[in-house]
Amino acid sequence: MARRKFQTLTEPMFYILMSLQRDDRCGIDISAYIAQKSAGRVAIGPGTLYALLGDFEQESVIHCIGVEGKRKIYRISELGRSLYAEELNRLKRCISDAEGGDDNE
Amino acid sequence: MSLGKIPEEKAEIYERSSWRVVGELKDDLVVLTTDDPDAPEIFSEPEHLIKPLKRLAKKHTAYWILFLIMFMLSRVGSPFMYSMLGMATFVEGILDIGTAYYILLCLMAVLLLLEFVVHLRSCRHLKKLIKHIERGGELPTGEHYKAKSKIGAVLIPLSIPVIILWFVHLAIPMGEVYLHGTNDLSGLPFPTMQEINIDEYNYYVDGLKKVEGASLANISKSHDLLAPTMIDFSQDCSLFENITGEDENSFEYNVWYYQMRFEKDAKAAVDRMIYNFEHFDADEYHQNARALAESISENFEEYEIDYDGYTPTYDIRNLSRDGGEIKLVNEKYGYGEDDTRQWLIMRFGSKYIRVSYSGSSDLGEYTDLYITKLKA
Repeated sequence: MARRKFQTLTEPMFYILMSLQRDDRCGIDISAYIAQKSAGRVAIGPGTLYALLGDFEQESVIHCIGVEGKRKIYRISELGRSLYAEELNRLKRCISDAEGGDDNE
Repeated sequence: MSLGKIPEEKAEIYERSSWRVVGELKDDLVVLTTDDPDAPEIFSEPEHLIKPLKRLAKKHTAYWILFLIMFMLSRVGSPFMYSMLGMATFVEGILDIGTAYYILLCLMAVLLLLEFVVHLRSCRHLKKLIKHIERGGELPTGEHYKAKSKIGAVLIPLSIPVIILWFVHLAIPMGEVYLHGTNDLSGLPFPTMQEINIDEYNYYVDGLKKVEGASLANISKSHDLLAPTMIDFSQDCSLFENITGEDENSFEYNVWYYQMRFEKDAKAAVDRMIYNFEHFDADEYHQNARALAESISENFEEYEIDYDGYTPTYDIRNLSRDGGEIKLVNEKYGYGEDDTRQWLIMRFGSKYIRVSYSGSSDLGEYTDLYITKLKA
């Protein structure tokens, strides 16, 4: 069910999962990571960020592993890694198709 | 505008995005503001706003349905129920409940209606907003409907207290708040059976008080905003078996005395009583009797419950004099010779009485005594 729901990740979803690939992070750190990584191109509104984190948590794509002060710390699950990898491959194929096809020549 | 109770971490990230939390309405609404024209949209993907909006719309739907049902089941319509019997007025219906209690009932009913309207409007507004967002429209700025928002800000937090108030009003017994029994028969503004020498029997004594020098009597005195003095007096009890087979007390002599605050209310009540006697509807009477029989048992005919028997008749004599309105009604309610009852209705100014008597004496012979007592 979760795979069907997140079969194609939106750009904000993709960047959130990207931010959790190596480190566990809180919402503020995720937001900061995305802004820095995309050089400000991808701006996720705070309402949208927390709505997505809630959806991911509900579908076990990420887990809350604890609270530091007033911040919830999230960790990506195996399902989340799998979704991220699938989406990354899909995007790579898209780029490959776009760059390697005869249509562009 | 955002939705949901806001955690501290979320508030912090809003602040980092140049948004400031300026208010919360229960768990439903968070109000944010910013002075920075470059602040990012709270919902960069507006569809994420739809889910909590739908949840909120459902909540308002549940509330308006609930408040509509509660309004319909509130006791505010109770005085109107008395008109079904055709023997009492709306004012008497209110008196049975108590005017103060009735005013509170009306206030509660108004609150229920307002809550219903506010939740219905909120629900419709949210559904329109959801459609607007789904079609790709821009998010509202929150600058509209300021006056309506203020009404909602008062009424929406009141929802739960109003629901509690509704349950409390069901728990309070109606018409029993101020009634009390007494043995004191002196100084009554109408004659007792002894004073008018009407034969008395007193077959049944259980639960009644023996009054020295008088027959067994039951008296309840009460007061109300509309009627500073109300007396319900019953004397000379007999026992009979009602249509459900249960024993029941029947008083041969009953007096209901009302001293109203306003003469117009007394006149309205008396006019209504007389009107009901003058316009007795036999068809309606039998319909009500049948409905009563059916309410007692689905197989009421097997129990020989008679709903279509004798049709009562009412002979009305006008005895008005001395500035008072006086009517004596002879009711014949059955086939037997003794199946008769007299009703004496008398009003002087804002005072009136209704006397009911079953027996061989003629109440008309004692009207002077009733007038003297009532005018005293």
